[in-house]
This record gives sequence, structure tokens and C-alpha cells, in this order.
Amino acid sequence: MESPEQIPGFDALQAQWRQSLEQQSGAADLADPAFLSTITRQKMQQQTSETLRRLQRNLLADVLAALALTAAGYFFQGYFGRHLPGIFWLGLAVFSVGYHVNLFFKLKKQEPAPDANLLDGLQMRITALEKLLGMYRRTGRLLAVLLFGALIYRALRSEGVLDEGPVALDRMQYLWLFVQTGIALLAAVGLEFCMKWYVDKLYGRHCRALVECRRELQEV
Amino acid sequence: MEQAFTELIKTHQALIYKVCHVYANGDEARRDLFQEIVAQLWRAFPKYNTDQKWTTWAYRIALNVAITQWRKPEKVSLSYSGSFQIRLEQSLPDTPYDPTPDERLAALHAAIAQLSPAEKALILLYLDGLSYADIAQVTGITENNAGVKLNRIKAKLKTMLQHGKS
Repeated sequence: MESPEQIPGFDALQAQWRQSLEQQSGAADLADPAFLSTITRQKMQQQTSETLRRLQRNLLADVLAALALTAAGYFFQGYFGRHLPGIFWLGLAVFSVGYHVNLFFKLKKQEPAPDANLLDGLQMRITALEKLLGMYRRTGRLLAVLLFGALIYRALRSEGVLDEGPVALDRMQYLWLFVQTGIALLAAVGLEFCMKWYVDKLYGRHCRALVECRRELQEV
Repeated sequence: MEQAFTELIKTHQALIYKVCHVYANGDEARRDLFQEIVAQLWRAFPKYNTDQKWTTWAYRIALNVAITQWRKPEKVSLSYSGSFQIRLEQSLPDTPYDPTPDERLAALHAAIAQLSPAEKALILLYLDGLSYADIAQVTGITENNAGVKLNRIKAKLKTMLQHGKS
């Protein structure tokens, strides 16, 4: 093993550093009984860590979003006078909620032991975050495709292409259809971009910082 | 059990304070991190094996919280950057400046604040006097690797202290 390198001046600071922080911690007395009896005690009573609670909040938002999207789909089809059987929508809602709940429990199971060493803790946290990021990215892509499909469907229907076929269109109608396709494409790309930005803000930056930290620890 | 835990925290609060000091800036953020670490220690406390060293066990948990779980407030200012900057300006190569011990300490804090989270963890454990074996236990890297990294970090800090360059 490489012998500890003595750096004059720097090593002399070690004792000073320790002493100064020990004095400061005594003065701050963050662990005084009165302090422990308030906020810290409340946190101690909570069964789950801050990360898991954040995950729970996000899960709730996801479940509500999935239900709202299913409801929007149901009303959207009603708007066009097409009706898929109710069991289809019920199945879709159950699947969406089930998917999120299942993912939550998978991630909960992977919650690292609090006293795992730093490298193991990082590894498990990164795996969990990457799973979440993957789910959100897939959802974003799926939503973008769905939005594009719905807008194109609406355009084709409004021009009567679905009933009479494209041969019945005049030049202006083709042009209008082309413009609507462009708008649909922009909306879909915009939606995916927003979703990516949101997910990156939510988990992406934190995940990248953890990956960098793991890389630093692992490199020799 | 809660009373025993509270006593333990009171006795060893300096350890947690050091982690908070290195990873959080400002009293509010430090207090928040302190609470989070104490809460996590409490959750893990029933599984604490008394054969284990309290220091390594507590450091594992505290560093896991500080690095992987706790999210810093978006806008933070470096507590020492201001004073360190003044020192740097005063200690330009052509104008030799002999800092007082307190100033050197402040400069060390400022230099540590500029390190990455992994480097902070290693130097924190080193400065607190943990052996390479204990550092390896806390971080999960080998003793050799810990030694090599610490020498690099110490050299980096020395350069930062001498030249004010990160």
C-alpha cells in the first residue's frame, strides 16, 4: 500500500480542523433535548426515508395523471362518437395504476440498507433512479406518439378522409392536412421535450451526480 | 431505547456536525441535514451491532444521507468563499503573505468546499482521524485505493491552499 504522504503544513491543520469543528458543534448543540423533541423527533417517528417519501409523492402524482389521461381518452373517443367497450377503459386504468404501484414496491425493495457502505449505497440508489428515469422516458415517448396519433386522427376526420378517402380532397385540403400534420409533429416533439426536461429536473441531474461520484470512488 | 439513542447522539454529535459542515452551507441547510441524518440513524439503530465501531457505522449512514439522499436547497452560497477569495487576492505570488492559523483553517474549509462529494467524504474521514481500514469500510473501496486517493486529494488541497487554484 502506498505510504501516507506527509504534507507539511496541511497535516498540521488536521488537529486544528477537528478541534475547531468539535467546538462549533458543541456551541451549535444541534442535539440538545429541546431540539430533538421537535422536528428531529417528528422525522424519527416517520417510518420511511425522505427519498421514499418523495417517491410516494411522485407515485401519487403519476397515478392521478394516469387516471386523468384514461378519463381524457374516454371523453375524447366520446367526442368523435366512437365508443370502445367500458371494460377496455377499466382495464387500461387498472393497468396504469398497477404498473406504477408495482414499480414503487420494486424500488422500495431496492431501498439500500441505511448502513450500507457508500459505494453500495450509491450503486443501489443509481439503479433505482435509472429505473424511474427509464419509466418516465418511455411514458413520455408513448404520450408523444398518442398525442400525434390523436391529432392526425382529428385532422383526417375533419377533412372527411376517413369516410371518403384521400381522392376526394382538393389542393387546399391537402395543404391544410399538411399544416395540421406539422402542428401534430411539433406538439408531439414539444411534449416529449417537456417530459424529458421535467424528468431531468426531477431525477436526472441527481442521478448524473451520483454516477459521477461512483465513478470517482471506483477509479484507481 | 430512545433515551439511549439520544444520549449517543449527544455524545457523538460532533461526528454528524462534521458531515453537515462539509456537505451543507449555511445554518439552515446544516440543521436540515443534521435532522435527516439523525432520523436515518434512528431508523437503523435497532439493527446496530455493538461489536461494530460506532464511528464507522455512523459515518456510513451519515455519508449515505449526505451524498445519495439529501438534496441541497437550489440556491446556496459557499460560507467560506468570500474570505478565501480575499486571502487568495492577498497571497498572490509576488506579494508573500503569511496567513494566521485561523486564516489557514478558513482557507482549508474553502478548499474542501470546492472538492467533489466523493473527495469530500474521503478527506472528511481522513481529517477525523480514521484509519485507512476504517475509511475502506465506510466507503467500500480498498485500503490501497483509499490511500492513493487521499494522497491525491491532499496534494490537490495543498496546491489549492498554496496557489488558490482548483
